Amino acid sequence: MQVDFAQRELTIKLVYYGPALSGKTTNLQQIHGFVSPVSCGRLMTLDTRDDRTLFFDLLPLQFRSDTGLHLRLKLFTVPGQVMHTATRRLVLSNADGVAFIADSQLSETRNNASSFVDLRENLRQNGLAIETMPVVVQFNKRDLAGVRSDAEIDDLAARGREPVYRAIATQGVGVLETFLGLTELTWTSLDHHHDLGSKFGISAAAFMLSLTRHLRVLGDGGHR
Amino acid sequence: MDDPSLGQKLTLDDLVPEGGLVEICRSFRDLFGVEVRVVPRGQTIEQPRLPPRAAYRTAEVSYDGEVLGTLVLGPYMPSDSVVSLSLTGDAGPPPLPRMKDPTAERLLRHLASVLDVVLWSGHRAFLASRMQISSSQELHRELVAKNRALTESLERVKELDRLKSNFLGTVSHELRTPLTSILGYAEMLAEGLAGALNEEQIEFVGTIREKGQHLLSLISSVLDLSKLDAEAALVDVSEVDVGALCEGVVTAAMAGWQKRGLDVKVAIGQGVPKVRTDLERLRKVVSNLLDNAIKFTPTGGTVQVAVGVKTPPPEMQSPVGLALLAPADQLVEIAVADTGIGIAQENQPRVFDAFYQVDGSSTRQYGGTGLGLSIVKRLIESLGGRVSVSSTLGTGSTFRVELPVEPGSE
Ligand SMILES: Nc1nc2c(ncn2[C@@H]2O[C@H](COP(=O)(O)OP(=O)(O)OP(=O)(O)O)[C@@H](O)[C@H]2O)c(=O)[nH]1
Ligand SMILES: [Mg+2]
Repeated sequence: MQVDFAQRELTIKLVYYGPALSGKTTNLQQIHGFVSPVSCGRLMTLDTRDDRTLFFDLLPLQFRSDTGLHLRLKLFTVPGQVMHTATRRLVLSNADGVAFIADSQLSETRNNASSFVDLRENLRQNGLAIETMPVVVQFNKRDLAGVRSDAEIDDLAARGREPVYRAIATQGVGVLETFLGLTELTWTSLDHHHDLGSKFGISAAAFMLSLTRHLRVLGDGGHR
Repeated sequence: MDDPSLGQKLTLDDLVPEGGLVEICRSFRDLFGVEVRVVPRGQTIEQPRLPPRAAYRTAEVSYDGEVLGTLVLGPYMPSDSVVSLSLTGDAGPPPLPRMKDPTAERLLRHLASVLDVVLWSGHRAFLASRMQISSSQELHRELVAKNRALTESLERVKELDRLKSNFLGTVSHELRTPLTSILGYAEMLAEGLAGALNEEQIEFVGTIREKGQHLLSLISSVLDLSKLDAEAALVDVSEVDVGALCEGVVTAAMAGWQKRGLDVKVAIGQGVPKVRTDLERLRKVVSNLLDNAIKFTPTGGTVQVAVGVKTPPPEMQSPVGLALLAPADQLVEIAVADTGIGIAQENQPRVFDAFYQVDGSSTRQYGGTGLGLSIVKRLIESLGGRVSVSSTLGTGSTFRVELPVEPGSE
C-alpha cells in the first residue's frame, strides 16, 4: 500500500497467484473488459510467445470516490510455472491482498496445493504471513469435465477460512465476484490496521459501492 | 526486498531511451512541417521572440495519472491571420508554417496519443528489464544459499558415511568372522572330517550349526537396523504405484506361502493415487509385513493385503488454505490382515520393539529374529508414515501402514 494523504491518494496492490495455466491472466483480461475505460489502464502483459506469463501481468485501475479519495488498484498476476518462483517472490513483495486462482480439475489437486505452499513460503520470505494476508480462493474452469464437485467445494469452503469463489474465467463467470471479494477483504484489513476509513472519510460499504459503480457490469453473471 | 513493479515515481528518462523523444519529434516535424518538443517536468519552457500573432499549443504528457512533462507544438502562424511579407527577402528567420488552429490542435492530439503508446511500451520494457535484473539477483542469491546448504549436508553425509562404514565394518568383521569359523568347524565335524561321530555327537553338532545360523541372521538384521539409522536422511523419492508394488511383493513370495498352504490376496481400492516415496524402503516394509503374516498364520489360513486411500480428519489440518491443501493431504493405507495366532492386547504396544517376540517360545516355534517389525517401523517412519496393529488373540492380526501421498507437505 502507498498512501499520499496530501493528494488523498491510495494505491493498493492485489496479486493473482496460483499454479501454471490456472487462469490468472484470463481473470485480468476479463476484468479489463468489465471496467469502464475511464477507470482502467492498458493491460500490460509480460509473457512469452506461447502466452505463458514470464514476469507478470499488470492491470492498473483507478477512480475517485464521492469523498474525493483517489484510489489506484494495481492488479498483478504471477507466472505460475514452477521454475519462476524467484519472480513470484518479487511480484508478491508489498502485496496487500492475494487471489489464489486454483484449477478445479481433480488432476490439478496437487499442483494447487504445492502452489499454495509456495505462496506461503514466498510471503514468509517477504516478511509477510499468510495468516494475516487477505486471501480469497477461486476454483476456476468449472466448465471442464473431471472437476471437483460443487458439493465438495462447498464443504471445503465451509471448513476453511478463506472466501471461496467458483469461476469460468474464459466466460467471465465469477471473475468480478472474486475481484470484488478480494478488494473488500483487503480494504477491510487495511482499514483495520491503518484506520483508512476515518483518514479518508469513507466507510467500507461506501468504498465498495463506489467501486462497483465504476465497473461496467452487464448482466447478472457479469458477462460481457 | 526491492520491488521492481511498484516503487518510485517515473520520469520520462525511465520510459524512453535517450534521444528517442528527439527523434520522434524530428520525424513529426519532417512530416508536418511544424516544430514539436517535449519538455520534461521541472524544466521551464523557453519562449523565443516571435512575430506578433504567432502561436504555440501545449499539452500535458502524462502516464498512469502522473504528469511527466509538456508537449509543445509550434510556433506556427494561424492561417487566418494576415502576414506581413518581408520586403528584403533574404534577411530574418525563415517564415513560420501556416495552419489553422483546429488543425494544430488535431496534430497535437495525434502526437499525444502516439506518445502515450511510446511511453506505455517504454514502461513495459522498463519493467521487463528491471524484473529481469531482480529475478537474476534473486536466483543468484537462492543458488548461493542452496549451494551452501548442499555443501553442509554433503559434509554431514560424508561424516555419517565414515562413521557408518567404520561401525559396520567393525561389527561385520568382529562378529561374523569368528562365527563363520565356528560354523565351518561344526560342519567339518558333522561331515566326519575329524573322525566318525556317534548319534548324540551328530545331534549336538547339528544344534551348534542351527544356533550359529540363527546368530548369523540376527547379526545381519542388526546390521540392517544400524544401516537404516545411518541412512535415515537419504531417501530416494519417486512416484510409486502402491497397488502394483503390493502385487509384486505377494507374487515374489508365492513359493513360500503356497508351500505353507496359505491363501494370499491383494485388494486395491478405487482412486488410489501414486505416492511420492522411496520404492525400495516401501517394498521392504510390505515384504516384512507379509513375511510376518505368513509366518504366524497356520496352514489353510488367509492373508489379505488391502490398499486404499484416506483423508485425515479435519482437526488435523490448519484452516489456512484448507480448501487447497486438504484435498491433496491424503494418505495411502496398506493393511495386511492374517488369520494367524493373534497378539494379546497388552502385548500389542511392544511388537515394534527390536528383539521383541511375544514370548521367547514363539521365536523357537516360528523362527526369525524378532527384528522384522521394528525394521518396518523405522522404515515407514523414515518415509513420514506410521504403522499400527490391531489384533484378537486366536483370530488374527491386522497391520496398517499409513503413508502421506506427498512427502513433507507441511
Ligand atoms: N475451459 C476453461 N479454460 C480456461 C478457463 N480459464 C482459463 N482457461 C484457459 O487456460 C489456459 C491458461 O490460462 P491463463 O490465464 O493464460 O493461465 P495463467 O494462470 O495465466 O498461466 P501462467 O501464466 O502460465 O501462470 C488458457 O488456454 C485459457 O483459455 C476456464 O474457466 N475454463
Ligand atoms: Mg499468466
